[in-house]
Amino acid sequence: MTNHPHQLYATPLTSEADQTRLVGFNCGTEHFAGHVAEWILGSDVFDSIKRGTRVWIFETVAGHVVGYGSLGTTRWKWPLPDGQRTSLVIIPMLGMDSRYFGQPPEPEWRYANQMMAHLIHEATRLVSEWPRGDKKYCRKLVLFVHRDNRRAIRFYERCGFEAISGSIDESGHFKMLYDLDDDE
Amino acid sequence: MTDTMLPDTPQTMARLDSVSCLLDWMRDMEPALRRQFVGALMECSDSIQQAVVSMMVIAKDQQAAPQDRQRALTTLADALFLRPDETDKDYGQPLAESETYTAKINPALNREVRTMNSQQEFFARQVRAIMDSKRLSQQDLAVRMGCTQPAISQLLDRLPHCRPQKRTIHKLAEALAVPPQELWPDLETAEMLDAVARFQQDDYAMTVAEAAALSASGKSKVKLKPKPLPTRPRR
Amino acid sequence: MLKLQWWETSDTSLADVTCRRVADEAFYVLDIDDGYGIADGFQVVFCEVKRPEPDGTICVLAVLRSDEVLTESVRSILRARERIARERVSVVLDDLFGR
Repeated sequence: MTNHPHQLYATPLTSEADQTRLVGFNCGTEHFAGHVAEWILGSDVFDSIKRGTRVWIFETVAGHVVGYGSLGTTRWKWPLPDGQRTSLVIIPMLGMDSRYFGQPPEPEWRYANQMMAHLIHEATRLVSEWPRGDKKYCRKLVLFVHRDNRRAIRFYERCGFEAISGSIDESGHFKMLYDLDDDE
Repeated sequence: MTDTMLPDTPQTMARLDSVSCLLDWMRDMEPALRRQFVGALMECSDSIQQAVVSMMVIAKDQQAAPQDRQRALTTLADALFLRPDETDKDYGQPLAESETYTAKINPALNREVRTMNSQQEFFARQVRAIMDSKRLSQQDLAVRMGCTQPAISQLLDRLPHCRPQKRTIHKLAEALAVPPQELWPDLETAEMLDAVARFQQDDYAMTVAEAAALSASGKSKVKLKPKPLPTRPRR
Repeated sequence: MLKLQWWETSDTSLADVTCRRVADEAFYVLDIDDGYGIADGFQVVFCEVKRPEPDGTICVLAVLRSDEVLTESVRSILRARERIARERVSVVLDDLFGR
């Protein structure tokens, strides 16, 4: 384990006591940023945990909370006439405190990259137990992003996510997808 | 009236059963309680009286589940003995009380309830402030919202104490010609959180484009390498 | 309960909670999966009274366990409560000396 000063650590969030560490957490003032902070500060995170979602706080060695991430699974239905269900992995929410946007200056230690690399690792571990070639299991990681959140969209694209065309909903969010098959 | 004048229909039999049940109840009561009961029943509207009698039938039904008989009794007691002009409170438990109690035992909800309450106060002030700034009377607002002036008057009176429904916020915003967020700033946040919750729900029906994306292989793209983060060392 | 503020009559889901109208009745049910350690889940039964707001007031009529069936007795009780709720809300509205 490295002792690099910009190393991030992942601490599971499981209770309201963990949530107190996020007092003051703020993802920015844009209209699409409020709910990102609200999700982890309110009761939505616990609703998600009850569905089996895992949530981590990402912090520095000094205990400064940089952001949070979450990982879960869901089942979608293939279009008719198939209609069968398939499981896939999702990132329900992911957020970074605006004070740490673009930090640290060293690209190889960029906090956002560390956070996403951790989530992709956990997703890969999850699907490693899923059978290949079975339509009931889709080895993809999907997240949800607001169309105005250009910073996040560019970041996800650099990580290897691709936008699913035509997936924009009435709230202005669309889905992006990462193929987990190459990473095993 | 003789028996031959009563139509022999299921409705008549049901009504007679109800009356019989009512008489049984009253017969079993102490006189003072019977007077109180009859007095309270007579003050109710016909609709509530019918509800009371139907609850009596269930409460006396030995075949009914015990919890249903209890629920019927509770409903009957509410109908007869809890009236808004006899207590300081409205009928039923107000939302504010219910939320206050829940928030005490659930810290995550406590924060949300406090946020909603402050939004509620802001909403009430904003509506009046915008009406004043645009010199809109209650009648003007009533016309724009398609309701009566008394309804607007009562709405404004209740604003500081009630949580408006989303459609009311939108309707008021349209009538006042302001964006809904100007009345309820967290409206968009609430809608986005709802969208996130729906994203996690099972049984979402994929579009054809989503199905094609899920079926495709993405091997050619440059991707971030997966790498686990350690847990923070204890100090 | 906080989510009910955003309910509209045509909604079949409220955020991540399914919502349905009870057949042949004037009330609705929210299906809550979380039992909070007390039950497997809950059904929140509510109705909308079309007063005093221009659009109405939501009244919660009962909270049942998710495994409870809406028998005829239960429906009768809920109908009675709905009738009482509608009338009580109107009494508060019509009271010239009330709020």
